Amino acid sequence: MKSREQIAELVEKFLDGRTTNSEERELYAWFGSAEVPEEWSDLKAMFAWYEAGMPEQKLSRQAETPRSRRSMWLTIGSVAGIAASVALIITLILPDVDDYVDATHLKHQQSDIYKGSYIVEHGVRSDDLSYIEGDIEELLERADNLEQRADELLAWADI
Amino acid sequence: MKRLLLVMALLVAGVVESSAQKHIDALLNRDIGGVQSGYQCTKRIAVKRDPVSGEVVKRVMEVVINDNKGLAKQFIEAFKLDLPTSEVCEEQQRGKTYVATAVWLNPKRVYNISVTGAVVVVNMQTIYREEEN
Repeated sequence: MKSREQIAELVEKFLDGRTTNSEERELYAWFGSAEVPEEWSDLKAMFAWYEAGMPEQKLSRQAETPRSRRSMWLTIGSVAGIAASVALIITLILPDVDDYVDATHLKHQQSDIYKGSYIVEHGVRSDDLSYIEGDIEELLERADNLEQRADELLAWADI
Repeated sequence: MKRLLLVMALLVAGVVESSAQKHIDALLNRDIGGVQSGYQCTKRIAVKRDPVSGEVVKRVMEVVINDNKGLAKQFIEAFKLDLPTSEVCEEQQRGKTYVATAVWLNPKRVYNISVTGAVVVVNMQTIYREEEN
């Protein structure tokens, strides 16, 4: 059994991080006994904690280290992910925006082409070109077919 | 069996008048399809313009009348009266359907009618300028 002085030396050595595993087990055993002086009660609690495998610290380290690492990677990953997403969105959306702008421009142009067109159905007149455009285009297609037939007749008649 | 009546009319000078399609136009210009007309009617007017100048290239009117035998008869009569004034025309009786197409020039006007029972479809167009393909 070691004396208090020897234990005090071992404690110093432990706190300096120079103790061997067997010395540490010795300290845990000594401080685990009931003969620990009251003034060393803090040390008793400390070694009990070390002996138990530093549960809280271990937990917190287990939790913190990976978390901090994870959060670091998450941060890097998030930034990279966001950058990639933004790049992807720009790549995917810009052509769509262009298409949309082109389509809108084209639609506007088409509306201008058909300006003055209207439909009267059941006594209700509609000249909203965005609404009747499809009908107007179908009508013009039918008219084109009839015009073709008319051209054939004119050709037969040699006119 | 389809009965086909093809009439090609070549008319001499002086036939191209504004009143050349007067009987048909008179019917088309009536307030057909009004709220109190008592029959279904759809009138579509398509104006096609030059995208650059905005000038009208073609004007099309299509009138679809449902369930009005009286008006169907009047349209057939009007076409029969106006066809001789056209540059060229074609009349066909396809079973129960009467179809006629007539063309006037300067400006080029194409009138087409299709009547089946009480259903009338009249399509008339005025081509002010030939489009470039």
